[in-house]
Amino acid sequence: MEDNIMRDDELDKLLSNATVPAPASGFEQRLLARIAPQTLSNVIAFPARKKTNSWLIGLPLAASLAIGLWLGSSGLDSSYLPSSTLISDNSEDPTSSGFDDVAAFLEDSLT
Amino acid sequence: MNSNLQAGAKPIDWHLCSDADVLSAVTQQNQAAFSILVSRHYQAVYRVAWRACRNAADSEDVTQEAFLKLWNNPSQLRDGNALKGWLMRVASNAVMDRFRQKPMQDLDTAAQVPDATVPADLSLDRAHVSQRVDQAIAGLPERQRLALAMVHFEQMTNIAAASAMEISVDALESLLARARRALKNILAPDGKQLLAACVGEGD
Repeated sequence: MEDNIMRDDELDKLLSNATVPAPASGFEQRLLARIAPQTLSNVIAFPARKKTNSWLIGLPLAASLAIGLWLGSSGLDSSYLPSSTLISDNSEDPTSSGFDDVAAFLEDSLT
Repeated sequence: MNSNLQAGAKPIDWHLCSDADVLSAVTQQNQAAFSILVSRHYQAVYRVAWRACRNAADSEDVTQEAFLKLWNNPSQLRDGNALKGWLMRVASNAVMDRFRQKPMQDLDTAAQVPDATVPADLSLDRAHVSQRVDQAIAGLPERQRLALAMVHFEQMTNIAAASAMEISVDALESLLARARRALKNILAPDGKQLLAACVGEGD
């Protein structure tokens, strides 16, 4: 029974024969190669927008707006329409109602 | 040294710098500095991971996980000179996570499957001794394997290994004592033959 008891130095001797594992060749390079994608993945890269001259778009829009305002204020809008076009004007329609009529309706409902 | 790092006028030979100095450059995402840390420590981290996992693929994954964690957040390591211990801690935590996630691959039981008895007439050579010792180590619980790997195989101090495993020094010594006792019990039946084979090979 005593023969089966292993001493510390004997165990150390056996442990010194244990396999010394080594990473597969190229492991270090593979590890370092993973760093670059990691760096990029932390930043969401938006595609760079083409730089356009905003005046090229803004000037026609501003001119169009100015012409529209001028036409509207000068009362010339109807002269550009075909003569056959009937513009509805129902301002005299007695059935129409609006905010001005709200008080009247309320008074009717109370009485 | 840090002032030299910030000056950046001359190329720095990172091989001459301490871990702490190199780490300060890594915090600025310096890949050259990081590659130095990798080359210094990846083999030790891999060996500890391999002792615990007994599997090259998992060991590589664990090692990569530890280093990627360092790269992604180097500032969480306050003392750069404790880098090796920190890497071991991350690796050992990753190993434990893997054992929790994949209990079917727990080697505590699997390692006991091979018949370790050696026929008396078999001539033992060094490779067989290595295989037998590896099997015995693989039969230990994972925390005992980690403790043994760090202290016995990587020559870390008990304090450093205990810190890496996030346990007290007493607990680490207890793990080591139990590991050695278990190894003696496992290897004792054919211990004399194994030792004779070691001597026969020139020891």
